[in-house]
Amino acid sequence: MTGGNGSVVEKTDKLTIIAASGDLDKIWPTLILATTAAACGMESVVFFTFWGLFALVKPGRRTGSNWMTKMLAVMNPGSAQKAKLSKLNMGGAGPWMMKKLARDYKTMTPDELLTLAQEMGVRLLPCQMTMDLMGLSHEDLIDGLPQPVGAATALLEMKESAIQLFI
Amino acid sequence: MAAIEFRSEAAIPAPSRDVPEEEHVSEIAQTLDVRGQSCPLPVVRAAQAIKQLQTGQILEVLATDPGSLTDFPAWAKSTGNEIVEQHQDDGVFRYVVRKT
Repeated sequence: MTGGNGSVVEKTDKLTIIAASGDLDKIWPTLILATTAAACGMESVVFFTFWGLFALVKPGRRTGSNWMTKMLAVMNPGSAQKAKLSKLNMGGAGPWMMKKLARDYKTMTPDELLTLAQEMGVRLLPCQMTMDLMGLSHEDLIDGLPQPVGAATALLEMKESAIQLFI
Repeated sequence: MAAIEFRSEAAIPAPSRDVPEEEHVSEIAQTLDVRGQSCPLPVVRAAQAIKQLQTGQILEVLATDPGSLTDFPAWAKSTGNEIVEQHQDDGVFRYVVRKT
Protein backbone atom coordinates (compact mmCIF):
# COMPACT_ATOMS: atom_id res chain seq x y z
CA MET A 1 0.00 0.00 0.00
CA THR A 2 1.35 3.43 -0.89
CA GLY A 3 0.75 6.35 1.44
CA GLY A 4 -0.12 9.89 0.37
CA ASN A 5 3.50 10.98 0.40
CA GLY A 6 4.63 7.90 -1.48
CA SER A 7 5.72 6.00 1.64
CA VAL A 8 5.10 2.29 1.44
CA VAL A 9 3.37 0.53 4.33
CA GLU A 10 3.67 -3.23 4.50
CA LYS A 11 0.71 -5.16 5.87
CA THR A 12 2.00 -7.76 8.28
CA ASP A 13 0.58 -10.79 10.05
CA LYS A 14 -0.84 -8.59 12.76
CA LEU A 15 -4.19 -8.01 14.45
CA THR A 16 -5.09 -4.56 15.72
CA ILE A 17 -8.31 -4.04 17.65
CA ILE A 18 -9.61 -0.65 18.69
CA ALA A 19 -11.41 -1.36 21.96
CA ALA A 20 -13.75 1.61 22.28
CA SER A 21 -16.54 -0.01 24.29
CA GLY A 22 -16.34 -0.87 27.97
CA ASP A 23 -19.21 -3.35 27.76
CA LEU A 24 -18.41 -6.81 29.06
CA ASP A 25 -19.79 -8.34 25.86
CA LYS A 26 -17.37 -6.24 23.78
CA ILE A 27 -14.25 -6.38 25.96
CA TRP A 28 -14.56 -10.15 26.32
CA PRO A 29 -14.45 -11.13 22.61
CA THR A 30 -11.81 -8.46 22.06
CA LEU A 31 -9.50 -10.16 24.54
CA ILE A 32 -10.34 -13.65 23.25
CA LEU A 33 -9.38 -12.60 19.72
CA ALA A 34 -6.26 -10.75 20.86
CA THR A 35 -4.94 -13.70 22.91
CA THR A 36 -5.82 -16.20 20.17
CA ALA A 37 -4.02 -14.08 17.57
CA ALA A 38 -0.92 -14.18 19.76
CA ALA A 39 -1.35 -17.96 20.10
CA CYS A 40 -1.52 -18.19 16.30
CA GLY A 41 1.85 -16.49 16.06
CA MET A 42 0.42 -13.15 14.97
CA GLU A 43 1.50 -9.82 16.36
CA SER A 44 -1.40 -8.62 18.46
CA VAL A 45 -2.31 -5.09 19.50
CA VAL A 46 -5.32 -3.63 21.34
CA PHE A 47 -5.77 0.15 21.52
CA PHE A 48 -8.05 0.99 24.47
CA THR A 49 -9.96 4.23 24.02
CA PHE A 50 -13.01 5.97 25.56
CA TRP A 51 -15.11 3.53 27.62
CA GLY A 52 -12.83 0.69 26.54
CA LEU A 53 -9.95 2.23 28.46
CA PHE A 54 -11.79 1.69 31.77
CA ALA A 55 -11.18 -2.04 31.35
CA LEU A 56 -7.49 -1.35 32.01
CA VAL A 57 -8.12 0.43 35.33
CA LYS A 58 -6.79 -1.42 38.39
CA PRO A 59 -9.58 -3.18 40.32
CA GLY A 60 -10.89 -1.06 43.19
CA ARG A 61 -9.02 2.05 42.05
CA ARG A 62 -10.84 5.34 42.61
CA THR A 63 -9.98 7.55 39.65
CA GLY A 64 -10.57 11.17 38.63
CA SER A 65 -8.56 14.38 38.53
CA ASN A 66 -11.40 16.87 39.07
CA TRP A 67 -15.03 16.86 40.30
CA MET A 68 -16.38 15.81 36.93
CA THR A 69 -14.00 12.91 36.33
CA LYS A 70 -14.36 11.83 39.99
CA MET A 71 -18.13 11.75 39.56
CA LEU A 72 -17.65 9.87 36.30
CA ALA A 73 -15.55 7.25 38.15
CA VAL A 74 -18.35 6.76 40.70
CA MET A 75 -20.93 6.19 37.96
CA ASN A 76 -18.56 4.23 35.73
CA PRO A 77 -16.04 2.47 37.99
CA GLY A 78 -13.05 1.02 36.20
CA SER A 79 -11.50 -2.46 35.83
CA ALA A 80 -12.48 -5.34 33.59
CA GLN A 81 -14.25 -6.94 36.57
CA LYS A 82 -16.73 -4.05 36.72
CA ALA A 83 -17.68 -4.15 33.04
CA LYS A 84 -21.44 -4.25 32.43
CA LEU A 85 -23.38 -6.18 29.84
CA SER A 86 -24.85 -4.06 27.03
CA LYS A 87 -28.10 -5.98 27.48
CA LEU A 88 -29.48 -8.17 30.29
CA ASN A 89 -27.22 -6.43 32.79
CA MET A 90 -29.97 -6.66 35.45
CA GLY A 91 -28.10 -4.49 37.93
CA GLY A 92 -25.02 -6.68 37.82
CA ALA A 93 -26.79 -10.05 37.99
CA GLY A 94 -26.11 -10.59 34.27
CA PRO A 95 -22.32 -10.19 34.48
CA TRP A 96 -22.26 -12.32 37.66
CA MET A 97 -24.03 -15.14 35.83
CA MET A 98 -21.75 -14.75 32.79
CA LYS A 99 -18.69 -15.13 34.98
CA LYS A 100 -20.23 -18.11 36.77
CA LEU A 101 -20.86 -19.72 33.36
CA ALA A 102 -17.28 -18.91 32.31
CA ARG A 103 -16.07 -20.65 35.44
CA ASP A 104 -18.33 -23.67 34.82
CA TYR A 105 -17.23 -23.97 31.19
CA LYS A 106 -13.57 -23.45 32.11
CA THR A 107 -12.85 -20.39 30.08
CA MET A 108 -11.38 -17.12 31.28
CA THR A 109 -13.05 -13.93 32.44
CA PRO A 110 -11.90 -10.60 30.92
CA ASP A 111 -9.63 -9.71 33.85
CA GLU A 112 -7.92 -13.12 33.62
CA LEU A 113 -7.64 -12.69 29.85
CA LEU A 114 -5.93 -9.31 30.36
CA THR A 115 -3.21 -11.01 32.41
CA LEU A 116 -2.93 -13.82 29.87
CA ALA A 117 -2.71 -11.27 27.03
CA GLN A 118 0.18 -9.53 28.76
CA GLU A 119 1.93 -12.88 29.32
CA MET A 120 1.55 -13.70 25.64
CA GLY A 121 3.01 -10.41 24.49
CA VAL A 122 -0.20 -8.73 23.32
CA ARG A 123 0.47 -4.98 23.32
CA LEU A 124 -2.27 -3.25 25.32
CA LEU A 125 -2.06 0.40 24.35
CA PRO A 126 -3.86 3.01 26.48
CA CYS A 127 -5.20 6.06 24.64
CA GLN A 128 -3.47 9.21 25.92
CA MET A 129 -6.30 11.56 25.06
CA THR A 130 -8.89 9.43 26.88
CA MET A 131 -6.63 9.35 29.94
CA ASP A 132 -6.43 13.16 29.95
CA LEU A 133 -10.14 13.64 29.30
CA MET A 134 -11.37 11.04 31.81
CA GLY A 135 -8.78 11.92 34.47
CA LEU A 136 -6.89 8.62 34.44
CA SER A 137 -3.20 8.47 35.31
CA HIS A 138 -0.75 5.75 34.30
CA GLU A 139 -0.78 4.60 37.96
CA ASP A 140 -4.55 4.08 37.73
CA LEU A 141 -4.01 1.43 35.06
CA ILE A 142 -2.88 -2.16 35.55
CA ASP A 143 0.88 -2.69 35.78
CA GLY A 144 3.11 -3.54 32.87
CA LEU A 145 1.39 -1.50 30.17
CA PRO A 146 3.31 0.34 27.47
CA GLN A 147 3.30 4.14 27.42
CA PRO A 148 -0.03 5.67 26.31
CA VAL A 149 -0.27 6.55 22.63
CA GLY A 150 -2.40 8.69 20.32
CA ALA A 151 -4.59 8.21 17.27
CA ALA A 152 -1.70 8.44 14.80
CA THR A 153 -0.01 5.45 16.45
CA ALA A 154 -3.29 3.53 16.48
CA LEU A 155 -3.78 4.29 12.78
CA LEU A 156 -0.27 3.15 11.90
CA GLU A 157 -0.82 -0.10 13.82
CA MET A 158 -4.05 -0.61 11.85
CA LYS A 159 -2.39 0.27 8.56
CA GLU A 160 0.27 -2.36 9.14
CA SER A 161 -2.22 -5.02 10.22
CA ALA A 162 -3.75 -7.72 8.06
CA ILE A 163 -6.78 -7.52 10.39
CA GLN A 164 -8.18 -4.36 11.95
CA LEU A 165 -11.29 -4.31 14.11
CA PHE A 166 -13.20 -1.61 15.96
CA ILE A 167 -15.12 -3.19 18.82
CA MET B 1 -2.36 -27.80 4.17
CA ALA B 2 -4.06 -30.98 3.03
CA ALA B 3 -7.57 -31.51 4.27
CA ILE B 4 -7.57 -33.70 7.32
CA GLU B 5 -10.03 -36.47 7.28
CA PHE B 6 -11.73 -36.95 10.57
CA ARG B 7 -12.32 -40.49 11.61
CA SER B 8 -12.99 -42.51 14.68
CA GLU B 9 -10.40 -44.85 16.18
CA ALA B 10 -12.21 -47.87 14.80
CA ALA B 11 -12.28 -46.52 11.24
CA ILE B 12 -8.50 -46.26 10.81
CA PRO B 13 -7.53 -48.20 7.69
CA ALA B 14 -5.22 -51.20 8.07
CA PRO B 15 -1.98 -49.61 6.70
CA SER B 16 -1.65 -47.18 9.61
CA ARG B 17 -1.59 -50.21 11.91
CA ASP B 18 1.78 -51.17 10.40
CA VAL B 19 3.39 -48.70 12.75
CA PRO B 20 3.53 -50.20 16.22
CA GLU B 21 1.56 -48.31 18.86
CA GLU B 22 4.68 -47.83 21.06
CA GLU B 23 6.47 -46.05 18.24
CA HIS B 24 3.65 -43.51 18.03
CA VAL B 25 3.76 -42.92 21.76
CA SER B 26 7.56 -42.70 21.97
CA GLU B 27 7.51 -39.85 19.43
CA ILE B 28 5.36 -37.67 21.67
CA ALA B 29 7.47 -35.12 23.50
CA GLN B 30 4.62 -33.70 25.56
CA THR B 31 0.94 -34.30 26.17
CA LEU B 32 -1.34 -31.35 26.87
CA ASP B 33 -4.64 -32.15 28.55
CA VAL B 34 -7.17 -29.37 27.94
CA ARG B 35 -10.23 -31.57 28.36
CA GLY B 36 -13.12 -29.55 29.74
CA GLN B 37 -11.59 -26.21 28.77
CA SER B 38 -13.34 -23.80 26.40
CA CYS B 39 -12.28 -21.33 23.73
CA PRO B 40 -9.75 -19.74 23.57
CA LEU B 41 -7.85 -21.84 26.12
CA PRO B 42 -7.20 -25.09 24.15
CA VAL B 43 -5.43 -23.17 21.38
CA VAL B 44 -3.73 -20.73 23.76
CA ARG B 45 -2.40 -23.56 25.96
CA ALA B 46 -1.23 -25.47 22.87
CA ALA B 47 0.66 -22.39 21.66
CA GLN B 48 2.29 -22.00 25.07
CA ALA B 49 3.20 -25.70 25.23
CA ILE B 50 4.66 -25.92 21.72
CA LYS B 51 6.87 -22.92 22.43
CA GLN B 52 8.79 -25.13 24.88
CA LEU B 53 9.46 -27.82 22.23
CA GLN B 54 12.19 -28.11 19.62
CA THR B 55 11.43 -28.08 15.89
CA GLY B 56 10.27 -31.52 14.79
CA GLN B 57 9.09 -32.55 18.26
CA ILE B 58 5.55 -33.78 18.76
CA LEU B 59 2.84 -32.30 20.97
CA GLU B 60 -0.22 -34.37 21.75
CA VAL B 61 -3.35 -32.44 22.69
CA LEU B 62 -6.45 -33.92 24.32
CA ALA B 63 -9.52 -31.68 24.13
CA THR B 64 -13.28 -31.92 24.51
CA ASP B 65 -14.20 -28.52 23.04
CA PRO B 66 -16.09 -29.28 19.78
CA GLY B 67 -14.84 -25.92 18.45
CA SER B 68 -11.33 -27.34 18.52
CA LEU B 69 -12.26 -29.41 15.46
CA THR B 70 -11.89 -26.35 13.26
CA ASP B 71 -9.75 -24.27 15.63
CA PHE B 72 -6.77 -26.62 15.68
CA PRO B 73 -6.47 -26.88 11.89
CA ALA B 74 -6.86 -23.06 11.72
CA TRP B 75 -4.20 -22.59 14.38
CA ALA B 76 -1.89 -25.02 12.56
CA LYS B 77 -2.40 -23.15 9.30
CA SER B 78 -1.61 -19.83 11.00
CA THR B 79 1.49 -21.04 12.82
CA GLY B 80 2.77 -23.51 10.23
CA ASN B 81 2.78 -26.36 12.73
CA GLU B 82 1.61 -29.63 11.26
CA ILE B 83 -1.27 -31.77 12.51
CA VAL B 84 -0.03 -35.27 11.74
CA GLU B 85 -2.88 -37.15 13.37
CA GLN B 86 -6.39 -36.33 14.46
CA HIS B 87 -8.78 -38.72 16.17
CA GLN B 88 -12.02 -38.69 18.05
CA ASP B 89 -12.53 -41.24 20.76
CA ASP B 90 -15.48 -41.20 23.14
CA GLY B 91 -15.97 -37.44 22.99
CA VAL B 92 -12.25 -36.68 23.32
CA PHE B 93 -10.49 -35.05 20.40
CA ARG B 94 -6.84 -35.96 20.07
CA TYR B 95 -4.49 -33.87 17.97
CA VAL B 96 -0.91 -34.86 17.28
CA VAL B 97 1.02 -31.76 16.25
CA ARG B 98 4.57 -31.60 14.92
CA LYS B 99 6.39 -28.35 15.61
CA THR B 100 7.83 -26.84 12.45
